[in-house]
Amino acid sequence: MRRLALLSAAVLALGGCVASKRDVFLLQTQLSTMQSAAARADTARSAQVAAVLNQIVQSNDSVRAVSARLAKLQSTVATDHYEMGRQILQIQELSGQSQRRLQELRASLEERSQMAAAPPVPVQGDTTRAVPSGPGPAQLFQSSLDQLRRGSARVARSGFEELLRTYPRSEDAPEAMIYIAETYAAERNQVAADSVYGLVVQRYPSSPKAATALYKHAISIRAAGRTAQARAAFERIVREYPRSDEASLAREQLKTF
Amino acid sequence: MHLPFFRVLAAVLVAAPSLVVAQDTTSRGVRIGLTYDPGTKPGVVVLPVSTALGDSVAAIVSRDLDLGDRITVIPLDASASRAVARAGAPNWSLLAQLGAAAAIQVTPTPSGLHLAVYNVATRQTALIRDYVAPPASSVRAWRSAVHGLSDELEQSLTGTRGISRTRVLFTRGGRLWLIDSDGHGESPLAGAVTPGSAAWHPNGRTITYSTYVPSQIVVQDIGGRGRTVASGRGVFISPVFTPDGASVVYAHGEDDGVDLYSVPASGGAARRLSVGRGSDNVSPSFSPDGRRIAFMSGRAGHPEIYTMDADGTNVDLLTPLDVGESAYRASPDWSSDGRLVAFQSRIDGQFQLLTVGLRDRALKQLTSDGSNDDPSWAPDARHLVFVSNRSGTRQLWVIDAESGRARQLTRGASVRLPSWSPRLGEP
Amino acid sequence: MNARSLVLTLLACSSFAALEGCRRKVTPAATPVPAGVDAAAAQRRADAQAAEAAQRRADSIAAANAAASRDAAGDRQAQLDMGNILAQRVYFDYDRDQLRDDGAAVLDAKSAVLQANPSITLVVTGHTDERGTAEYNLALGQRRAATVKRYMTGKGVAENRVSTQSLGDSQPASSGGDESAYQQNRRAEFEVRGASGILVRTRD
Repeated sequence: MRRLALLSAAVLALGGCVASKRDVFLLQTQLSTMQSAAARADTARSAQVAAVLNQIVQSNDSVRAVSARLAKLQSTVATDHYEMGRQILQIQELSGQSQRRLQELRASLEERSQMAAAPPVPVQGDTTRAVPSGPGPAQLFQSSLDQLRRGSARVARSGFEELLRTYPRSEDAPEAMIYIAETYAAERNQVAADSVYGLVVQRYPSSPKAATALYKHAISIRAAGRTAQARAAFERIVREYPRSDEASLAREQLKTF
Repeated sequence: MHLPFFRVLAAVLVAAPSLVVAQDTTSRGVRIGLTYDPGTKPGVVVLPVSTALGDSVAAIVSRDLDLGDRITVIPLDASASRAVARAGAPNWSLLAQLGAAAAIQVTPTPSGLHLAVYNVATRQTALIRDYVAPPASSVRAWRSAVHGLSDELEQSLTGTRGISRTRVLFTRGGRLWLIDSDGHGESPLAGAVTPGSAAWHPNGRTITYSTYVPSQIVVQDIGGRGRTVASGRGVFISPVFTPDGASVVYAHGEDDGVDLYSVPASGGAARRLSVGRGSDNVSPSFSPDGRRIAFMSGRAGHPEIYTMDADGTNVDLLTPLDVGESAYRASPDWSSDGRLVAFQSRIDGQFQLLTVGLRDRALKQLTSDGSNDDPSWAPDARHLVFVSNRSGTRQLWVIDAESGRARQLTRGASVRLPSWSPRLGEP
Repeated sequence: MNARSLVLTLLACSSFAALEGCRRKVTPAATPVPAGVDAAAAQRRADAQAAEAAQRRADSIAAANAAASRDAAGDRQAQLDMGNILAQRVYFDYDRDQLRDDGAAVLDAKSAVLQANPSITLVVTGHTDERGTAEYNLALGQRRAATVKRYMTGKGVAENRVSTQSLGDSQPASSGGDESAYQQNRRAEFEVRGASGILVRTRD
């Protein structure tokens, strides 16, 4: 084995020695040819790379342009959406206020029609006119509210109670009941007020005033230290009347438990 | 409607009934030399006092009674002055001739002030009272004592306590200022920098105000140091005390409208009251019983005055519904008798003051001269202080809501955002 | 969008690989001088190459210097431009908090600068003209600032990088009492926070 290795080494050394100058020149030429070929290939490749980079830049630009347009669109849409929401709220607000004004108008209409029919012509045997001769529901409501605003809680209460007795199906009934509770609250009779608020929720659960009543109920039981029940009541407002003002207020309250 | 003049006095003087001769003879016929609504205002002569201090006391009391708008102070020329106060007793016939129902004399004493009230019709002394007052050298305290006398005197004469011992807070040049109701004692308040509106605690010694930089709500004893009760990003503006003084209600907003909040006056967690859903809700003012809040809201697209329960429910538009683009109603202030809310409304491009009745929603326009902003009721629920540019720059003016008589309270650099104090005690 | 970005990523990767390959090939071919053979010719060639390289280096340094000074001038200008863009005010109509088209264009430019410079934040202050009540004007100014913020977050600026405040009518830009003064005063102003000297240019 060793002998063989020595032999082959000697052959290799001899071969090196016999390589002529010409061979070396050839090798150099080949090398330089390869070099220039490689350089050409490099140039071609770098041109390709430049082209590719250029394409990337271009597509990046177009992506950026598209995303800028998109962002602008999003921004515009968001702004429009916000504006629309605001306008809807304004319309709701205006219609709510118009209803209040309509109520006042109805009250004064009722009053006028009664004045027009003031001397009622007694027709014998006429039993078809079941309408009570007293004030109409809107009129009762309005005058009772005036009394409450004037500070006469007791008088106001009797007016609202008469409304509930005479016109139990009037659309003003839930609000009248709320105001009955308010008259108690005005007299610092929280227990009575609270129980009437509870009645509003029981009797008129679908009235928008039910949320108000429930909220006031919840506030007063919280003040009385019944925390768990108060919490449940606030949660019920959020659940059952999610779009009401009271739901927003209840969410605030729930944060503080 | 007019309260019988001396019957009221009699009611006030139950402790000394022998001094009083109660006769209802003065409600008419006090017309001599009067220029202003004489039918319902009894005429009074303030008798001169010979000392210099006596002169200034008489001048202050005369002015106080005059500014109350419930009494006609009959002016005296030089000869009348000499003739009306002869040594010993008042000149009854001259007083009657001048149309005076009563004559008043306030004499400085070593310990204070001596008040005498004479009934001209009966030619008798109706009231004698002595007041302790600090020396005249401590000007503010001494003037305050004289105002206190004026206010009690007005109550004796008309049944309604006067408002001369009150002050008005306002902003000028990035500071809070105080001025007495008669225009004296104008001085900046230490501490408050870049203030917005300010309001009084019912005790008359503590105030709350907002500052722009930093954005915060401050509670401060007058003469003391401020304490921040709410602060942060966005705006914190238009604070008021609840009528029981326990809480401060103010407006705050950052990115989604401005809403009303309530915070304990001693500091603590704030709770939102209004549900504005992105609109502006500012300038709260409590009903005297503390159960309702009047405030300005832009929820319908333009500023209007609303009321709501103190817990934020039962919102109701107070001012008449107006969908016009130019409708702009703001700065509500609830009168201390609970009957009226004063506010400002844009009329023909300028702001004017109006009142609206809580019971009947009846409107009454109070001003028509220049642009008029930020009304604040005096504790008598009759006078209002407000800002008007009618004299060229924004100055404080006082108007009598019943008669419309107006007077200028401040002069100099322009001012804003007045707040009239409750009736004050000794300083 | 996803497919497109995937393609882009691939393109980017392949181009980097290509660049990397080039560098590896070119480097070993730098000194092909066989020792002891035609030394004079090789020496000449080497000298020529060295001179050429030196020239190239000098040229590229000169070019780089020229480009650098051009860039520096451009940068100074760009810094100024971006500073101006960030400071530029936005104006509003009377008693309105809605953006006008001119205001939206200003905010577009601001948003781009903010996105190129993640470290800076902006404080927006709303102002109003003197008409109306002090308190309502503070609220109106706040709404104007909030509108600006809403628009910029819609453009992709992070919510916590824009804060809002209002000074109402307390700091007018113009003290006049006519419409042109009022217009100057109905504005949002901008204050830059957290800019540590140099702003990164927006790619445009």
